[in-house]
Amino acid sequence: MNGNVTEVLTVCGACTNSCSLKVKLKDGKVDKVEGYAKDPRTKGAICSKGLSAKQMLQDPRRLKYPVKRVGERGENKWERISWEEALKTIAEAFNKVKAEHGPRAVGFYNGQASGWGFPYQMYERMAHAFGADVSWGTSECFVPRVIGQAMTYAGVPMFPDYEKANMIVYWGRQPAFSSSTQSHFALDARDRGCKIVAIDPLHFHMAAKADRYLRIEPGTDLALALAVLYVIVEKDLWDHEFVDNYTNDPGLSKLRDHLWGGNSDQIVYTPEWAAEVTGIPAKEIRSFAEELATTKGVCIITGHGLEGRINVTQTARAIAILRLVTGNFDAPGGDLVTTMSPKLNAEFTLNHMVNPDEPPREFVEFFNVPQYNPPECHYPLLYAMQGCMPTPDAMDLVENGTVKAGIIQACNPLLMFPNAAKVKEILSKLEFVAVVDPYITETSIQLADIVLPAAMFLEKTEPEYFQYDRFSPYIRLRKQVATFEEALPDWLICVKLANALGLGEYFPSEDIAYYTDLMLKPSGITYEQLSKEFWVWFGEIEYRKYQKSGFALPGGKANIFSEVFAQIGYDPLPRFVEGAENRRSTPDVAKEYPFICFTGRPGPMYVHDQGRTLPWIREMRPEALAMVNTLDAEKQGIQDGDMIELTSLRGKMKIKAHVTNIVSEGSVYVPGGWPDANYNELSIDDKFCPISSQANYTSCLAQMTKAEKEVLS
Amino acid sequence: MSKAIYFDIDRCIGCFACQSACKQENDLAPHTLEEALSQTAPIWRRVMEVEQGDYGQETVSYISLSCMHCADAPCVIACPTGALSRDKESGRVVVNESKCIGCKMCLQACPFGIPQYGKDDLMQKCNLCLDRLQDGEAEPACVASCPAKALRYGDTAELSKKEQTKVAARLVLATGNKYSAGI
Repeated sequence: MNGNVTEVLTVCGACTNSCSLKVKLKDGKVDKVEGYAKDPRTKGAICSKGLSAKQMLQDPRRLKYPVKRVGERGENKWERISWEEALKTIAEAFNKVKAEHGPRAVGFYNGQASGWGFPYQMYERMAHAFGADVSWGTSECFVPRVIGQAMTYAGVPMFPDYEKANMIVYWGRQPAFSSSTQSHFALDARDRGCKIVAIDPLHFHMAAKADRYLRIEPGTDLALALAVLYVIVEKDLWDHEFVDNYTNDPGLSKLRDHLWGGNSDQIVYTPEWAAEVTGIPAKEIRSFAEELATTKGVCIITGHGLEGRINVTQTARAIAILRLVTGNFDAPGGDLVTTMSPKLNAEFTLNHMVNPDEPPREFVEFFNVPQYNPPECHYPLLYAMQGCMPTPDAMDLVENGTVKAGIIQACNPLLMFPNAAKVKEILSKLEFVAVVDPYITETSIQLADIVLPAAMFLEKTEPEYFQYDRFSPYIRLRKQVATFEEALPDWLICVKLANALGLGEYFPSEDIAYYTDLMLKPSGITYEQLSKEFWVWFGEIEYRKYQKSGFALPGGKANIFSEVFAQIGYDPLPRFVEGAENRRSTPDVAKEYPFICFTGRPGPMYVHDQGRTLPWIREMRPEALAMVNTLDAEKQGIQDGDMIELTSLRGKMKIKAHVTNIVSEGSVYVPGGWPDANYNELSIDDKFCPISSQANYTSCLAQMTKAEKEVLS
Repeated sequence: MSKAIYFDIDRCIGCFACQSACKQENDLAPHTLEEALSQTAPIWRRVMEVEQGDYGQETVSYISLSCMHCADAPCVIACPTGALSRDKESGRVVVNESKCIGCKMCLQACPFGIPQYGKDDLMQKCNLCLDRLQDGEAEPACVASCPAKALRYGDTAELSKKEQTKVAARLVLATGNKYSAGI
């Protein structure tokens, strides 16, 4: 081979699954990005997103330097400015607002794109040093599932014991999309006789390979989970030894009463009842429940398919209870709890600066958050889990004029939040907006005064412990192997902005080693060690840890009956709640808008709205395609490739139709994250999960018609 | 003994990694967004979604398709200039672009529709990662990247035996393993 070839091990950041990568450099320039065969989670695999990373370094559409807006908002006119001027402008604007209205009048908004471990903690450190809370973050996804599980067994079992499993249930999870690099584990398990079950409204990818496929109506997973529990209790198939010794409902007396009509709606959660709700025949529900309960070693791997509906947290609770009563929690072949971060410095995120009354607490979790609830926050558990102001509250604070300026980092709310028109109207009230992003997004175009160019993952060095599937107890160093114009890592932008804001005493260095060592201090892991060793393990994979340590919940036992929920006033056992808009909950709306119109991931090659400008992956899926069932297409006179119009109570959109049986009759699937075919024109923004704040943003009712051909004038 | 890539349809979940691995390894177009949207760039390995059957009985499968490197390759026979040839030892069908006249006879002849044409209108296709393997890598890029391990590379005899071992185990499972202890 020509040229001087070197290899660097690093960690992917194309999504938050954090696969190890081997980057081949030729004469110091990135030549190839490949998987790393010694990564125990990937065994060398890499997905289409990571494989296209080289094109991130060559993308002419990326933002090359800081810019300020020179036209009106929405005109997309920018002028290059220096980093110094950009930071000074933002700092002056924020400090002025702070002097006049206090620090909480500045909103610090953060999203997924910069990552969830260290970069999020750095963002918290900056916001808290200023005196404000972080806002929204993942209140839109993932954390609602964390709350449901944490309140049930004080952990989040995200390490499927694939090697010993005899059944793997993908529930609202498409491994071909969001964690394909672990799919080999499930397929290997199947080769030795393990059954694969998929519960999904869409019959494709892994669901099309499943031994059992349950086609469920979007948003009704809670009904299915309750009916499965009903069968397991009815047939006495539950794990008596585990339930009686380790849960707070020995004999399942409370659960039994709840399932048999003891809930406030007096509904008996039978498979026959659930069949009406989910569309899955009662016989099939019984058969699935019995097989699940009589199989030793069952992993239930859930995903974003359970989210974006007002019953999300209780759905996660019901599935968590299912893991408990079948004895699969933290058991061989089941879903294991692992230590998800090294022991972190409780003072790192400067929580005392937003809440001086609370001492730092010492425990290990994803997000090192303040232990209090801000008065404006109506979702205490969301705040407790992630330390961010929930989306509805954050939006209210802008709408009522409390928050006057903001910085939006690593997210694109004008495209990704439900009810796009309303989001734009509210956020336009912000008098000054800075955006940090690798691209000029819709949010920048409509709102930003200043946009700062963020580095993408090959362009930054930072510690990484966050993962998604097979969450393993190790930390690695993401290593910078390239630069892009004037773009800087998100964490370094926090350092520079904090210094411009006059908070330099908390950000005295621009060296990643300083912050890495500070954050990891109690763990004893150092930057030097990470840069030499690549892997540093901070935990073991162990079964049944509760036998030694119990459950860190009221009573020290797993909470089938949630004491915490009862105290706050939420349903202590998962009560079925219908989706905000469907044929049963809003039959009048259904008359005019008869189709279930739902959204989710845009495919294996895209994360959210990202990646659309990368040629290698855009070629694979060049445009947004709505899935329309063959029978519906025939009735509506729609042919494959036709433009269709979808209309909901909130708005309308146009999109090209893909006529297919992947989607069920009466439903339309619109992939998320496409600016020119934006599902969020239709979606519901004002109905929330009362526990997690999640809006009912992935499913609504819509009318579907063939779009009139536009006449060119 | 010739080597080949085995595609396991039962394992492929349609993640598209192989298609981008091939693009990167061979530095194939598109290199611009406009080129990507024009859908004209050569694709040496393509993932296809195949849906069959009426609603309720539908099946959905994924096929990762590339050159089969046929032993008695129709494209080699059809090529009027000798630009296409098969190296017996490695089992590779390769194209010599300096001899190719871009007549597309290879596309006419290929039973799989594999031949691709770049901006120069000359034939190009998978060469089983000739350069990559010469540089010491063990597997072609598509195989190395495959998350589902649905693509495998090796001697054909070895691949066949491995597959038969798997099928044999599945047959035993299918019969209920009724001779196991305890029944």
